[in-house]
Amino acid sequence: MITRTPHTVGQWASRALFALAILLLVGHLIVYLHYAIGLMRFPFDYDQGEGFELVDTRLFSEGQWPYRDNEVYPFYASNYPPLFHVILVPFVWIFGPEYWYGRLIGFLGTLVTASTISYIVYREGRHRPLAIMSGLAFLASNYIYHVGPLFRQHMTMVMFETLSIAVLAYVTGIETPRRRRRVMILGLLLLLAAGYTKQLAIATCIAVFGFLFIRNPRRSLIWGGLFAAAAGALFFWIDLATGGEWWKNIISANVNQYFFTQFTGLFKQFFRLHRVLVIMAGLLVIYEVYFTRLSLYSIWWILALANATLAGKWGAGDSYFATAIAASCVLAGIFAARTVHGAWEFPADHPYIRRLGGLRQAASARRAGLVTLAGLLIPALYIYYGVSVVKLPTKGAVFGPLSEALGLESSYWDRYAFYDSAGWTAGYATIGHVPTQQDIDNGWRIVDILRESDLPAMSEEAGFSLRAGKDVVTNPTQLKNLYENDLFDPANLIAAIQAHNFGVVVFRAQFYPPPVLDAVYDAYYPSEAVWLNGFNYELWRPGPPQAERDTFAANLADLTPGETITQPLSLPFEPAAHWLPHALNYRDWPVDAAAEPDTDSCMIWTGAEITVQLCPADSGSTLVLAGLKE
Amino acid sequence: MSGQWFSIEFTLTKRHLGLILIAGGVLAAAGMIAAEVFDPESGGFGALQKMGVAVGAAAVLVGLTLLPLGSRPA
Repeated sequence: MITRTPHTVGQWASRALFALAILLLVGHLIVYLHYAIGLMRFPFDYDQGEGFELVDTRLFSEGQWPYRDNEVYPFYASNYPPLFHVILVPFVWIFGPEYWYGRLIGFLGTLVTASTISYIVYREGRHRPLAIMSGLAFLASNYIYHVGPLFRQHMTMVMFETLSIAVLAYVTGIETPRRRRRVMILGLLLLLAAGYTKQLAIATCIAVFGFLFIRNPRRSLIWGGLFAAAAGALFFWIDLATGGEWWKNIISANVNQYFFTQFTGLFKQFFRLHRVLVIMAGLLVIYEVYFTRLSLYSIWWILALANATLAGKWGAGDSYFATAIAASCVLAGIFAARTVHGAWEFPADHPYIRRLGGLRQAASARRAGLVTLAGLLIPALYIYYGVSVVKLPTKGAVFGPLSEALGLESSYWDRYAFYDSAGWTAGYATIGHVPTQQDIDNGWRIVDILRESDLPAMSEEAGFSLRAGKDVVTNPTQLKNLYENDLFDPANLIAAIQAHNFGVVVFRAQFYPPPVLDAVYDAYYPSEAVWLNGFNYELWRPGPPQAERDTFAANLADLTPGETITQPLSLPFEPAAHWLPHALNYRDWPVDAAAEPDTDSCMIWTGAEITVQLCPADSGSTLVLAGLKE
Repeated sequence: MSGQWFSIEFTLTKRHLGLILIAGGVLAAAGMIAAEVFDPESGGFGALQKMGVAVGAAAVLVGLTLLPLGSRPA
């Protein structure tokens, strides 16, 4: 007869909970994989800025720098370091400019990061299930899910950071000088790679050299000097090669307006989703601060969290927490492994432990029971985390019934069929759904509109211009940042807009400098809107030529009550009928949006002070402005 | 003593770390306050500055609690 002791029951219950936690986290991985594959099939920009990363990659593939003068055509420059794009250059040579391989590399980068996290946790904790769970926990995060498979460099930076930390964590303990030197060089090369992927890696750089300083100031200063020399040489070489555009575009342009409430909102969201990991990580840091030596992991975690305050910058968002999430997964995994093994050590002669001597003895006496309890609590915490970060599509053959069974509805109503437990706060990207075939079709419709003209298009997203085989004109947010830092004079771009050098302007969020927007409002008119991927893309077409617009403005300024002014327009009747109400409202002559038919072929708009008649003519159309008597 | 810091064997202690945190915390808090004193028209003592002072104060507190740990390696 087998007698099941409480200890054995506890072990079985613990195994069941670990299995459940792993199952839940694997479920998150499947949802993530589904999202990544869906994105790779989407041929346009999914998240703002992806297309410009592809443009940078293409420029590098052609042997050109993307750090260039924004004040000359095509008014374009990159604001990110080069490594991610350089890595993708062979793909451009083989496949041409496509989104899928950038998204694939981003996605694979997150898998490498997750594997590195698992490796670190196993190395420190020797608990295979927790090592696996730590890596899966990283991929399960809503924030990592969001940005992982994008054509963006952020997660590649996090990959290099995590690899660097894994390599350097024990470098100071290597006794053989030659091996220690090789490990240091490898770790610092990975750190350099992180910094030249994205500037945010500066926090990990500070963490590494802070750790080295604590362990041995001399070694820290020597290697810090060498690292600074290498990084600086590379920096100055690129700046020299680009005539100073490198510094302007990647340093000066990134000094943006800061919104404290954006940071606090994101931090509260981050903590709500990841509190299990963050609390375990924090407890390990406290333990290391007071009872043992500070590890590189802990210093990295502290600096990564501090760096996340930059999430309050204009243009920043949840991705700025990605490094902190990686570090939290590492520390939480180590904490969890030590707890389930009962491997915490508190020296009896410690000044603070001496005061808590009774507590230490009581804990030692109950060690077996506490370890059993830990075996239940730890996997339960990971299950809690897994439930906290649920996100999945709410439609489809599999996810539709699953979301219904779980009682989950779309977080975005009719906009997307996607549930996200994160909710929303300013700075949290409204992405995560898989684009539909309708989105793809609508994207090609915009491309067809661009192709109607031989002229380039000024598009807020690069994808449409790339697909239409046209130059990519402007990197809007970069121009906006430069303008706000007094580093961009939009005169040339404004002149090009006013001269109708662009066949169409495509807006999504209108993230351009205000004078550029003003020029578009004056010279173009909103022709139609295309719904794509949850956003309204506005297509603006050229209005009348500059001379006719100036005459129009002068006529409005001179118009008196009871007076009538007639003006010929070269713009054909139908486009003029779209241009006119916009032009009147833009010049503070509001009229009713809907025109009344005047005669069989004319239209009339009425405002408080003016009526405007538009009729077709051989030369295009004719405008009659009539000031209303008071 | 400064020569000892550049020895191949030297490593910071908990006391050193505590002193660094105290110095850093005082500098951070003082810097935030000084910025307000020297540029009072910059928009007031905002939330970010308050957070900076709070972090500085926390660093000082942690630093003080590390001092009793003496020569234990940091």
